Amino acid sequence: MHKSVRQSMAWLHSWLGLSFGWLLFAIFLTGAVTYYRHEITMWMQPQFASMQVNQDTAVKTAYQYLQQHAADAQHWYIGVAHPAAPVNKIYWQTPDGHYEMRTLDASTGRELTLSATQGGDFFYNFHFQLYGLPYTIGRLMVTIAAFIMLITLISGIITHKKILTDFFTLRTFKGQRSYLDFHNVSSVIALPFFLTITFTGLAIFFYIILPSGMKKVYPEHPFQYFEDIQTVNGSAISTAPVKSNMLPVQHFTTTVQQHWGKTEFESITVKQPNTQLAQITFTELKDHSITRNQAQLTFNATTGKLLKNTRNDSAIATLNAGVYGLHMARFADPVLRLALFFSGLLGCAMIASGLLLWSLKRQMQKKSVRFHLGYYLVNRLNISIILGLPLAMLGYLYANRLINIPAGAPNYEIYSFFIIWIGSFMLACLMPQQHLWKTQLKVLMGAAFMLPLIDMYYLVSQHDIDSFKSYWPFLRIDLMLWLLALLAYFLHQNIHPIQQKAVRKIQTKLKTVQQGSSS
Amino acid sequence: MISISMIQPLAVLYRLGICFGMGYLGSDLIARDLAYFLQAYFPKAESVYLAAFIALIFYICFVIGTFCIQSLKKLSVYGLVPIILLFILSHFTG
Repeated sequence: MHKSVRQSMAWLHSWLGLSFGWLLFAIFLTGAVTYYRHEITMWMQPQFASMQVNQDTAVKTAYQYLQQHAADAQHWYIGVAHPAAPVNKIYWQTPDGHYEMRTLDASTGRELTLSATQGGDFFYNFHFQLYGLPYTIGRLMVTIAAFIMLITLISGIITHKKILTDFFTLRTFKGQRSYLDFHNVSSVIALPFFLTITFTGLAIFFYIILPSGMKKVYPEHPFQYFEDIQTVNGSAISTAPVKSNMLPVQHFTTTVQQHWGKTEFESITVKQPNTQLAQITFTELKDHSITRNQAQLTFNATTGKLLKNTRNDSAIATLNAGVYGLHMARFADPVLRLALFFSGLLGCAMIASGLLLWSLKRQMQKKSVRFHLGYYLVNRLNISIILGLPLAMLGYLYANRLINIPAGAPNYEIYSFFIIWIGSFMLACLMPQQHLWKTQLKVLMGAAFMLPLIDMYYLVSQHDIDSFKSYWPFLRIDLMLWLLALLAYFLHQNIHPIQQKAVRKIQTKLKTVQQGSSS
Repeated sequence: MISISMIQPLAVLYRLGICFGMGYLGSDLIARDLAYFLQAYFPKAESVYLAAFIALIFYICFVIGTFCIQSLKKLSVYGLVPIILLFILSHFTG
């Protein structure tokens, strides 16, 4: 098929990249913003920002709520309120196996009926299971995309034999060469990040693409694997549960603080509550490791006895936890998190420049000016993903500020997201080629610039801010939006010269071909 | 007679089928067989995870490796032989 290994790899790199590039761009962009999902949720629910969290009260009120409403449950989970997410998120498993979820006020323990917004969780869920698809299908698509990304990265590395020279070469505003150089530079800068994030993403969902091992070893209950890889002797209890009163939660929080000192909790779980087998587990908020290995303490909830650590600490279980830890980067401090966020954006830039390069290269190789459906579609899909997706994300934030969605109402924010995304594609289909980028870049620039101003007006009119300190949780997102507006402005000013140079080259080439055929 | 313009896409399709299809089949068999054998040395969950981890690495190497082979005949041999061997092995593990 091809004469050399590098040619084979270049073919694989360009065609796989094109086939999955649009999906990968969406996964990378939503993944990058997921590093700040709690901050986005807080931006979208301004009432969160003014809530003061006292974890002792939060734990006590959530525990009391569950005692009153779910005393006979099989399992309790309390996601304890903390400054980044200042409400208690609880769920429990009813005796018939169903799950119930509630959001509670951390101070009073009352059920909260907040707006139906999903906040940053929408991007988080979209990142790994897309939206509107059944979970398994969405996750399978994302896993296949991760695999293709890994193959594309490796084939890209093999293709570029002069990877170091490429790294120091950036010919700006020179048509096709600029796209290629930018593609190379953006790929090489964050290559370790891309390889890590892609492989860990693939390994997290191994059970979707390679479930045969689980089925072979656990023929009856394949999902028992998840219990076993996290805990040791998780299913060893064979005694029948008998009703028994649990100790007050303050008893445990005091004991935990004797072990850890003053610290914050991430979650509290109770297995078989209100029985003699009840086990209460406290998990610390701060992750001091890269292996998602926060400190844990487990007690018998009726006797108060500290139980042996049940976490599976074997090397392979730690590898499994490390894969999650590296992908989610819960350990990252603010500076590292910002670096990871920008690495994610570099991934988007790498994919976008690759897609544009493919399109421009094919246009330049064309020997006639006849309409070609394939190139037309690639061009339009490029713009509706590269600019349409950020526009849709802005639309999601705009909807939050302009429409009030009460609890239980349809989520118009998500509707806005998809309507704007589809609108961007339709606009791209109807626009002539020469106005394509400039029009949507103007819209993006204007929308990103205006949103912080609308946000400020909204917050002041709703009395959600009264000082710079109370404004800061919103301003940090607004600053990012202005940065996006600035990037859109830069592209608006510079994308046209690059395209013009490429068009001139195409026209010269076509003239030469025509002259050659007529003579 | 079949023209070269028809053979080319069929050859590409065959190549993709061997690389990705056979590669997947091989990885699936590795994940299954290795999980079974590793149980002798590790607990159940660990054997499943380690087997799947190795199978994923095998899949990536298989796709890249087989895509570098130019001749379709060689590709068929290098692609199919390991899969047949793994398939036979999986018959012994039940």
